[in-house]
Amino acid sequence: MTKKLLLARSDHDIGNHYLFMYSQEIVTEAEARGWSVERADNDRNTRKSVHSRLSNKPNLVVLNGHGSDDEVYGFKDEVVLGPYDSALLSGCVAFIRACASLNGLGVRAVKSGAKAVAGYRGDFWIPRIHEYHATPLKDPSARPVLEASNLVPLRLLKGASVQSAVEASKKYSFELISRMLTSGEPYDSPSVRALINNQALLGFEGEPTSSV
Amino acid sequence: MDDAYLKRLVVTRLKAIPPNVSFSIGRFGDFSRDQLIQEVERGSSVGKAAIQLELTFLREMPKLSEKIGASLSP
Amino acid sequence: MKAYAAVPSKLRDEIIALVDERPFNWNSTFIEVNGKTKTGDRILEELVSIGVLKEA
Repeated sequence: MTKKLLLARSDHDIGNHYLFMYSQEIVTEAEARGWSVERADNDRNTRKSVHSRLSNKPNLVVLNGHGSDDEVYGFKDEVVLGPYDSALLSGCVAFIRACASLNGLGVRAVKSGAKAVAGYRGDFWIPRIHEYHATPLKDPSARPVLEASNLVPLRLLKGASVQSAVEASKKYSFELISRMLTSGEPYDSPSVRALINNQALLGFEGEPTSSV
Repeated sequence: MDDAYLKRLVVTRLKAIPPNVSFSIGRFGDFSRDQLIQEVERGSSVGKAAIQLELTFLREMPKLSEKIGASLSP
Repeated sequence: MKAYAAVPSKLRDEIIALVDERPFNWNSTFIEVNGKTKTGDRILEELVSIGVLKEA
């Protein structure tokens, strides 16, 4: 049976724009693996639209946006998933790239039947260099940070368990830090900060062996 | 912990970052290096988040060699 | 000394303390502490106070 990915992302501010662009790698990988990909982009990254798409029970859900302990925000920061919506992730494995949402929403989702939720327990930082705002994929400060983060859903797409996907991302973060510590790049310092922060906050809820 | 000292230390550290760098900080939004310095000086929520980031970085520095070594081992 | 040795060389230029508004990085801290100066003592106090080093 064809596996299904639901990926939600928006472009309405610079932070979301970076997540939007770097999420394309996840879409491309899923399509290359024969997954059915449903994208909830911009004005489809709304509460109504995402809830409707979640009713199709995707195997993997990737949500990008701002967030808090109990909420994930979509297009123009509308609340897409709130404290009473966690059951919508029942049966799925989810990667929620929204600040702090693992703490409340992630925990509740697993209690409500989600197989596992990976995400962040605090503020997710993205460094960026002003000159690259129109070409985020070329931004040497942002690139390592978002590559490390992308490794979670990319590993999940390949069938890895949620625990090994999270561990792979953390391990890769330290490999990147190691490379930066022996390079002469002036923009590594912001990346190292963000990598250290983000990998420390990355975690998961649910059964460690859960996979898609 | 002396909050005033922490602010001065973090501001000094942030000034070492190139001026054309910004940070998108989750729910707080996007801040240039200089805006972040102002937020730290103001003691705002995002300023406190920046202080926390710097503290984490400072505390991790002596442990990095070990963690990097562990990540690079087969 | 152990902490200094554990910090990767590129990070040793990172400012880690202020004493009388003068910044000190890992390298200059090492010099002060090794020289047993009062400045070195103050730097160590600040590093303990913010949790970078544990109290000896």
